Amino acid sequence: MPDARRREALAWAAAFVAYVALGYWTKGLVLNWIVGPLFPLFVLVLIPRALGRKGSR
Amino acid sequence: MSWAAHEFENYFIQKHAGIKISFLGLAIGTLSPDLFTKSFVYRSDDPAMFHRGWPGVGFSHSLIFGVALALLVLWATKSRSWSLGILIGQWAHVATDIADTAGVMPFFPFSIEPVTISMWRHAASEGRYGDAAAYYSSLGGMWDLFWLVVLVLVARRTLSAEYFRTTIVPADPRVWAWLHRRTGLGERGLLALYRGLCFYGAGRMVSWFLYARFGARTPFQPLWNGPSYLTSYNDLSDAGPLEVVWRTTLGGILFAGFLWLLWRLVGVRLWRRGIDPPLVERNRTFF
Repeated sequence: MPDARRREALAWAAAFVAYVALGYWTKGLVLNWIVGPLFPLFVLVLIPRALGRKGSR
Repeated sequence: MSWAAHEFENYFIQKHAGIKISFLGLAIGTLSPDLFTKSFVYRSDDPAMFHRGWPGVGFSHSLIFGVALALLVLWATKSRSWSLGILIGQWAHVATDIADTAGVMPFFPFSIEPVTISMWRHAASEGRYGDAAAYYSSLGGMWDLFWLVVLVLVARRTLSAEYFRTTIVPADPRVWAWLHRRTGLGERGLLALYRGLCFYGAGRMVSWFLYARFGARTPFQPLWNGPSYLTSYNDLSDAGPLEVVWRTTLGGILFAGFLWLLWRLVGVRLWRRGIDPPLVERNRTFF
């Protein structure tokens, strides 16, 4: 598996573990049809992008 | 009710329908029966009756509700792929919910007899957490796992970036392009959005299963009509099997007749003025 794909797979796995842990802990707060489907978008794309922009300033 | 199977089914359906249906339409169709009613179900005096019966919001789990939504969307957007997606998604939800004891009224209003195979008990009367714990202590949890395995074995290709590029976007080019323009998301972001439903289903399944085992500590009883630790069956009908078959058959015949009439009077006109995704227009093979 190429490095980029491996990194991507690891990122998804880490996001999944984080979601399950948060879900177990907070239950309805993240285990709902609004937060759930958007979680990977926020954790894997939007938050790293925002942090990257903040870091480059 | 199913807690994660509805999410996994979408990818399986999409694999077979390809570019003829919109994935976003399919997802909304699948979510539609519970979208605005679920939070009220737990506050109701009789959750099973309110959720699936009549009087109540059980009509949202009927085939006619999917037809009405699909026609409304076809009228408003002219998009055939969205209309079909919503119809198939909503019907898939109805078919799946036959498995619990409350069942569904597929041919409402022509028959209000609930149809069920009683694979697991409808447990909304236990409250949201109790419902989740009961579901993941019964065959319901196994049903979710079954659909996850089906997705991995048969339809995992639908989660790939290439499939997203060659099928999901061409099936719905206007909406994905609009999302790209409005949100500034690139392919990676849109792909995360597309995969989000599968992620949500799997995450929800694992979290609630762990909660049932280590939080609520309910006994794991994945047997037909379980879990047996619940005292209530929440079966909405006292009718015998023959009575159910008779009423449902009659309702089904009347529904089929109504559907035919609706198609002739309204559907065919809306369909003709509808628009297919450009790739379907070019390689017309199905409609």
